[in-house]
Order: sequence, then structure tokens, then C-alpha cells
Amino acid sequence: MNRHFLDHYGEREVPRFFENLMVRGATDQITIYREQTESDGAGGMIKTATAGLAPQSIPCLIRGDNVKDGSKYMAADQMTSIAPYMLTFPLVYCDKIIDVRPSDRLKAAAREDLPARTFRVVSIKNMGVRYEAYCELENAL
Amino acid sequence: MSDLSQKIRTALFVKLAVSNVTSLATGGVHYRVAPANTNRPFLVFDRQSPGLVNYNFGFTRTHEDDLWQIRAVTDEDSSVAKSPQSLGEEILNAAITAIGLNLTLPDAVTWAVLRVRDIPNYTEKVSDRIVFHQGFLLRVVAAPV
Repeated sequence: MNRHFLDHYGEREVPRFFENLMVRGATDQITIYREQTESDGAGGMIKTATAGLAPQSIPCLIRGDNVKDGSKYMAADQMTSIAPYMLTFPLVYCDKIIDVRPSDRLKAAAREDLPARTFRVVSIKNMGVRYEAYCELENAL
Repeated sequence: MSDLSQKIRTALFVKLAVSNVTSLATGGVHYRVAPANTNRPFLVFDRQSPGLVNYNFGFTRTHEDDLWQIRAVTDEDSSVAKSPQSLGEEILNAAITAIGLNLTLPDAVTWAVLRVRDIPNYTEKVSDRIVFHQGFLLRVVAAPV
């Protein structure tokens, strides 16, 4: 792992901080899903896998984005609502730099009374020791 | 919408909402729009192009000749085994078979139930994925009895 840009704070303290929050039930846990596509032999595309990437069950702070408003609109012959969220999680977890991309999906596990939710990544910011992912949550979770 | 079109709408739904279609279009069959919590793939149908209402010399209605649109709506997540384009075609083929060449209407008969042309395929973006629309126009000529 190329860690030359990470110091002890980023490698150890921040992951530990998130872990402590998770132990206290103060964070959600997310798993990163990456899309893969292949040809159907006639120019169409088949999504072959959406496997969760390691590390999984990453502690993550989920909050509604207070900058961008959600929206509700007609699309694809049905009413669609989009809610913006900001997900914050450590850059390093389980001794690995987390590989997350704007085309990924972040699936938050069910927690207490909340069902599992799929956050669709719009953009990712590497904030040095943590990621901030701007995501959308649809009406269909 | 005329009373005859309402009967055609019901008859089309009865023909389309069968397992051969809904096993592929798992989100179901819907008139014009699908409910917000419906997952794709689904099928929508609508009276796209109302035609002239035809009368005889005594101004008694003889028949109505309309185009109905039947459209499969799929997206990238609809299947892990088929492309959304292929799945859409399979749904439409199942729909054509299910509709057949006539509709059962109360107090009316169909003179023609024919797929007359396909609609141009188009796509749109919803959140982080592409939605595919494929469909055809169905000519339905029906007469009250």
C-alpha cells in the first residue's frame, strides 16, 4: 500500500475514531459495490456483478446534505424522488486504503429501525484522511 | 376518453397482466404511469393516438380506430443475465403473443387488433443509471354492438 502521503493520524487515529463511533452505534456501516458490464453479444450491456469490495462494513457518518436540495420529478413513467446525502468515512480502514469511485454504490446495512439503503454516488472528495461522498438516495431504497 | 376506449383499456390490461408477460416485466403492467415504488422492468400502455370516431349516415357510431402504445421500460439493473435492450424485446414479444388478434369487449367487438409499427427506442437517465424504452403501436378498431 502506498502510504507516503498518510501520516499516523490518517492511518491509525481517524480509522480508530470511526471505529469507536461505530462501537457506540453512532455510525452506519457501508459496503462499496462496483458495477461491471459485459457485452450481450449484440451490442447490449449486461451488468455482471455488483460484488462488495474489501474492506466491507466500513463505519460511515450519513447525513442529509444541507447545501443541495432534493427533488421530485416524473421520469421513466413514474414519480421519482431524489434526496441528497453526504457520507463521510475514513480513507484507510482495516489497514487498506479504500478504493471508491464515482461510479460505485454505497450500501448501508439495516440498522435499528432503518432498512438497508443504497446510496448512489455522484462525486467523491478525498479530504486527506477521510472521504466525503455526495450521494443520492431514491424513493426505491 | 370514450366508453369504447375504456373497454379496450380494460381488455388490454387483462391480456397483458398474465404470467408470460409479468414473469419478464416483474414490475407489472400499468396504464400511462407506474406507481412511484415500482421497480423496473415494467410495461406501460396508453392510447397514444386517438383516431376519428366514425359514424354512419344516421349519425350512429359505427367504430373507433385508435393507436395504442405498448412500451417496455427496463434499466441497467433489471437483469444480471440479459441486457436491458434484450429484456425489453422479450417483454414486447410476450406482450404481442398475449394480446393476439382480438380483444374481448362487453357490448362491442374488435375488427382489427394489429401491431402496426414499432416506436423509436429511446433512453433517459434516472439518478445513476440508464433507462431503456422500447415499444410498439397497436391498432385497435372496435365497434359497439
